[in-house]
Amino acid sequence: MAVRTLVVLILAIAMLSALVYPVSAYDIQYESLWIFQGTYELAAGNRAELEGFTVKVHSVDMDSAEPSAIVLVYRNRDFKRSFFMDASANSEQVYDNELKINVLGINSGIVSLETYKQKSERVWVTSVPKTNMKAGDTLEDGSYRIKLKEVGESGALVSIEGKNGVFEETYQSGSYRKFAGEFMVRVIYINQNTRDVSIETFRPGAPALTVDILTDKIVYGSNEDISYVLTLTNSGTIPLHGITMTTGSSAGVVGEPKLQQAVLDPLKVKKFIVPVRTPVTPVTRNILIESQVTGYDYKGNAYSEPASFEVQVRPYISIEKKVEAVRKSPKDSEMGTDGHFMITLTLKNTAGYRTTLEVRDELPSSMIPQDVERTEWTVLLDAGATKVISYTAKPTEAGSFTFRPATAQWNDKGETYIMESSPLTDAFIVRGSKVIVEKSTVSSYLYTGEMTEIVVTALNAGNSNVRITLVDSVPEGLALISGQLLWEGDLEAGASKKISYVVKAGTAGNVMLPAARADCTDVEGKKYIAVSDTPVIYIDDVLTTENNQISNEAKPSSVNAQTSKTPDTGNAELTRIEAAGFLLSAFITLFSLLAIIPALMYLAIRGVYR
Amino acid sequence: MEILAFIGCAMLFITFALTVLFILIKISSRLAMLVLVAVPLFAVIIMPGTSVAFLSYEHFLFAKGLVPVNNFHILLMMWSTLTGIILYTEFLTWYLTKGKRRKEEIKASDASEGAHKDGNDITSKIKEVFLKQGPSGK
Repeated sequence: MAVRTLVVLILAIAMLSALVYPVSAYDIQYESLWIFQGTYELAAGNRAELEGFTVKVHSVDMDSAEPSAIVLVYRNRDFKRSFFMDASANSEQVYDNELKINVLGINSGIVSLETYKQKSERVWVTSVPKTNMKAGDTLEDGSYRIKLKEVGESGALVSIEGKNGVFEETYQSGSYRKFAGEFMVRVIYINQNTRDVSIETFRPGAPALTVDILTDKIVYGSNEDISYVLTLTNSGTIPLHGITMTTGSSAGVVGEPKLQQAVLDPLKVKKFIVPVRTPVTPVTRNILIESQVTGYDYKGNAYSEPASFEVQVRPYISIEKKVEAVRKSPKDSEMGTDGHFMITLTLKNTAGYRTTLEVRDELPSSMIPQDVERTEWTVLLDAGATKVISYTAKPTEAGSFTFRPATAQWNDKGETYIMESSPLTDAFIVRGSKVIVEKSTVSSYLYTGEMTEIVVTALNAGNSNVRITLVDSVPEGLALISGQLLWEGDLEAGASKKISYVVKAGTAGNVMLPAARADCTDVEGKKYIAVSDTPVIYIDDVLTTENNQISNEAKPSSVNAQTSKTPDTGNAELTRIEAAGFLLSAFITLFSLLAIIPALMYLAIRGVYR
Repeated sequence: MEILAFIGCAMLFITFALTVLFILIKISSRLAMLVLVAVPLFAVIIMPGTSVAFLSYEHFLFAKGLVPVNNFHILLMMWSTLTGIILYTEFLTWYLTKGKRRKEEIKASDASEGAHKDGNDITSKIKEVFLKQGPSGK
């Protein structure tokens, strides 16, 4: 039993070793290097946070001939050692063969230093994966050409041709060689039976920066904090070190303009949250936030990536308008003219100082404000304060209503600014009747004794039935001949009723017709009156052509233009004689003129033949 | 509306003119003259308001509004034209008829008397010219 257990244990160890071997084989991709951790400019008291280490400048001595500084090294927040450093002889210090500090210069109390950490880091990445080759085969990787010359008991003879010439060497299984720090070839396995050789190549990797910016909104208010998140991704093959992110804004205030990160491994993501506050502006404006991310690879090669984002900043004064329809009874399914509108204006000042606002709100013409005389207010808004103005408006007639935005006006440094609330797109329908009365005449210019028709129309432009009594009257100067002056009945929504009557013109002059009137009672019992316009009829007492011309000159130009087209004659007895006489005389004149020549000819010819 | 009014008036006047011309050709020139004057005259006497309104309806204003053209002007134009046609038709008819008749009379007198005595005075010469180159043209 013990022997059996021992065999199983040995087999397990052997299997584990077999599994571990390939992993350990790739240790050749790692190199122990002084990895660049970043450049820092530190004043006395400032510190640089590295991975596992903190470097702090304790004091700077600028008085001596050679400026110097005392630099402290902490490991995991525990003080370990202090170094006296300057920019010349003591410019480089190494702590515990793990951290190297290199002072570049000391100016104006600021110590510029580079930091490096001794670290085993994966530097080489696979370029050409494992490839089986036979004697005479060739493998190319960029400018390097690998040729397997022969395979024997002593190993594989490989010729590598690169930019430094041709190098031949016999490789065993697992052996490798690096060329100029930029290329490495490794023989993985030599199969002595088949004479196959597995070869792979490596190249130094490189980090790659990708920067994305995200904000929670696009539009911000004045003096508001922006959630500015910068996501940094290393999409390369080796880690990025000494990452610094600087952020600036065209107008806003950046809370932490410089942020640092020691290292970012390949395919890892790091999020930086930068507090940015929007400026205080009286007008809407755009601000640009720009960031620059810089990191270094293990050789100290810099990798930079800029990023920017634009946000809109609203003025520091904001006004919001809210309209709510309140029915008379909660049981009512629709808003009627007995209901009202509750209007709420919310004013906000996000600036750090007090402001006086002139607030105006415009109601539809048929609405009356209930609890205020005018819809204008002067409001004193303290810094950061919010104020609410509420009032009610009563609709006086039915229809579909939309409300216009409210405005707030204020002065800032001698300039006047106006802010409008957001447009209200909702249309509010008020149920009820709305009667429109129109009055018109068929002819507005008459001669004495002439007749014309007057038409009165009542239209229910609302959306519920109404009972109306339509009444009109005939003024002095006109006599009613026939027709209807009164009508009483129900008008459905959208329906109209027309009454008409004929009047005869009396004495000459201008007659202003009185307004026709409709006494309305809607379905809710509400009573109101609608009236028409007051058209004018012009009456003239002249008839003859001569007098007609004279009277035309005396008339208003608008009437003249109309009457010149149809100067209707009203009195038949007078025209009958005069018009017929005029026509007859005109004909006789024409006839006489035309008959002169034939008559003369007739007389002449008769005289000749006589 | 104005163009419709003009078209309506024009149709009325054309109908009137064609009627008069028809009567002139088919019936009698005297009756045509009577119709020409009587129709407007009776219209004015029977329907004075409508007729005067019709005659004074203004169609155009020429010379920047200085010269109005009413239906009355059109009626006068028609009257003068048609009266002219009727008068000259009547006159020419009379003249042609008279010339023909005179020629026949001269021929008949020449044949009966057998001899013709030439006149030396100016009157005789004019007579001869009218008779030779008479209205018949022959």
